[in-house]
Amino acid sequence: MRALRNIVDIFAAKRKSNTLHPYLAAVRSTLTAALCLTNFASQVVERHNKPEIEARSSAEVILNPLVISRNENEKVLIEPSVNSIRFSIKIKQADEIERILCHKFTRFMMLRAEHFIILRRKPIPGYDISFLITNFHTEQMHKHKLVDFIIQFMEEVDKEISEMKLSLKWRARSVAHFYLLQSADEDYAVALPSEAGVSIKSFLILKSGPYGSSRRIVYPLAGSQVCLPEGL
Amino acid sequence: MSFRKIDIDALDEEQLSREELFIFSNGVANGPTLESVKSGAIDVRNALTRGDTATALSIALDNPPYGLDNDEAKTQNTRSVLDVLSSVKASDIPGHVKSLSSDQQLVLMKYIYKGMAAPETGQSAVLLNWHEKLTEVAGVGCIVRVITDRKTV
Amino acid sequence: MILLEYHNAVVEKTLAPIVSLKETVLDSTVVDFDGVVYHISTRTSKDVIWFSLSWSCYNELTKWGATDMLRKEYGQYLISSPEQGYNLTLEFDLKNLPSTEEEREALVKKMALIKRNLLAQPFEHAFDQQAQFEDNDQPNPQPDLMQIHYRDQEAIYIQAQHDRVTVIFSTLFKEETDRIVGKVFLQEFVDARRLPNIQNAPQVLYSHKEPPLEIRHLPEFRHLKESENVGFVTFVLFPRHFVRGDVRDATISQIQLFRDYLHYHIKCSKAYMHSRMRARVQAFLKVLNRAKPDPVVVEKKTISGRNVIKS
Repeated sequence: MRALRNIVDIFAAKRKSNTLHPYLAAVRSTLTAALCLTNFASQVVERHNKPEIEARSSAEVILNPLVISRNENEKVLIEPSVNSIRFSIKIKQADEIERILCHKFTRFMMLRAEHFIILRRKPIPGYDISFLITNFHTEQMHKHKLVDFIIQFMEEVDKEISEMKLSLKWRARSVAHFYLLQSADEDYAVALPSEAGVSIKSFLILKSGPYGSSRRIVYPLAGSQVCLPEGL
Repeated sequence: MSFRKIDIDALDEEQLSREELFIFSNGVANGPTLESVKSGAIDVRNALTRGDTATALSIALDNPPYGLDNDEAKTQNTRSVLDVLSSVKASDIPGHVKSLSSDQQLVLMKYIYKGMAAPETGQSAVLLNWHEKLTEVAGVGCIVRVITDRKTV
Repeated sequence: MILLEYHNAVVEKTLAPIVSLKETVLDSTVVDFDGVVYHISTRTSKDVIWFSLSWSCYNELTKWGATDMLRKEYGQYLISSPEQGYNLTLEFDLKNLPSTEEEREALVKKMALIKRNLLAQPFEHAFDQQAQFEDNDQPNPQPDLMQIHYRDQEAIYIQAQHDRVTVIFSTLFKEETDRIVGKVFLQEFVDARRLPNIQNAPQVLYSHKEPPLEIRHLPEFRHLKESENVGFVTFVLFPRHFVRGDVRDATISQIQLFRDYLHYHIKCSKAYMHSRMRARVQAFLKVLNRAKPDPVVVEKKTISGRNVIKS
């Protein structure tokens, strides 16, 4: 049961440290304020209409950039201009694993930037992912729902990364245990009910091998098979 | 001759400079000086030791230093504002915010963003709290004014 | 599918004619873990099957008794001059095979395990040397440090000591992600022994970039570059892990596949994360598309009041 209790603790700890709500509220109101965009053709080059925040052709159309931070490792940068804003997120990365997962995930998204029309293909230095929203986007789409999307993205990306990390650890644990406890005997698995809102179903494995026997909880992951003997 | 490296846009007559933009937005080049900020900081500290956070806040927010080459005074005043903000109890924040004039609310919003831009001081949680309460009172318009105002603190 | 199988299923399938005694034309190249290549072919006539094997570390294995094992287990089929480009060749004449089907099945099974049996020899050698330490009648041997470079840039080092046998794997992580994921896995291998039910399992030690003491003096580690993502995994086997019989065989089979097992699961985790990210990105896309307004449908009427139906 120890493993299960660990998960419950992790989720409880998450609920407790709730500076997340004011952080997201601040991002939401600032983003709403910054998304006052208008069509604005380039003043420098005729018949050009470019996001001024990227082109930076004249100083008067670039507005004050704002930073909203939760702590050193989690912050957003909003750079507004007359016809576009650039919104960059620095995602929390506590250790090496989270760093690599975050990098993989943001890269995965940015490779699909064509579908995410507001996504920038490359983050600006110091941040993990950037969005570029222009007046054309706000004309085509509901502004409040765009804001909703970004807020939901920020909420879920943290969750996704920590879930991936947990599942990686579970897999590693199962793999190590199976290897060290290999046996010719059948394994018996008993499904346990899911607890505490954790959506992963867990199994109790009874197993005996040349080096000992075990009773433990295993979390089946994609790619692994757990056979339930008949009658359970 | 590295003429290719010359930024020809900067030589454009119609190109506006930072100084011109500042003057267009009613900025006075010689705003509050370092001396006046320092004396204000002492008043703020005195008010804080008396426990009168409301007065301390309004002194700190009145007549803030802005301008182009006024960095030292700006840092000084930011420090006093952040001192005041972190010494107010969380439950008192809405009252303090409501008693401010709309100009003071704007200045406060500017300082909140300035404080959040430096997360290494570890005051982000307090500032986020203030931001939430201030937005409830002053609205999104206040944030828009922060974005557009050239008179940065 | 958590565990890998020790025998090569493709070899087993390809050699089916040995069991059925049906004449066929064969010419296939089969690969196994660790760069082993088998070539199974019918050369001169349809009833003579050649089975050749090539492996980069074959010469190292012959030093530690592989030849004896081959002579003992596969002797009657071994031919003296192997096929061009291969290390050893076995010849099966369908007219000249064991008479019962069970025996022939056992023979095919043995062929599918040939790689395992070859690599088992250094382990057997180390276990025997360790037994000499235990035995008071025999003089203590000078234990050999056996190096088997079974892959490019990766090797196994085996050495007997007076109360144990250490097996060290050097493994190379090709990219940063593999290294980090591998570290998580290896850490679990190290930690697993703390659990009461696995305490009897061999001890696992892991170090990154820093070769263990036993092999530190080897010239190949003198110039270990900082940039190389090399990890060293040490298994400490005690006599109870290699009691003659099933336990010894199981231990050898298992430990040989360690590197493949580890890397297989690293790949699986990456594949899992990838499919997970795909699903998540799809979900994000749905949220973003919600921001697009629904197209406005205006009902058009003709002058007589009927609806216009677009065909």
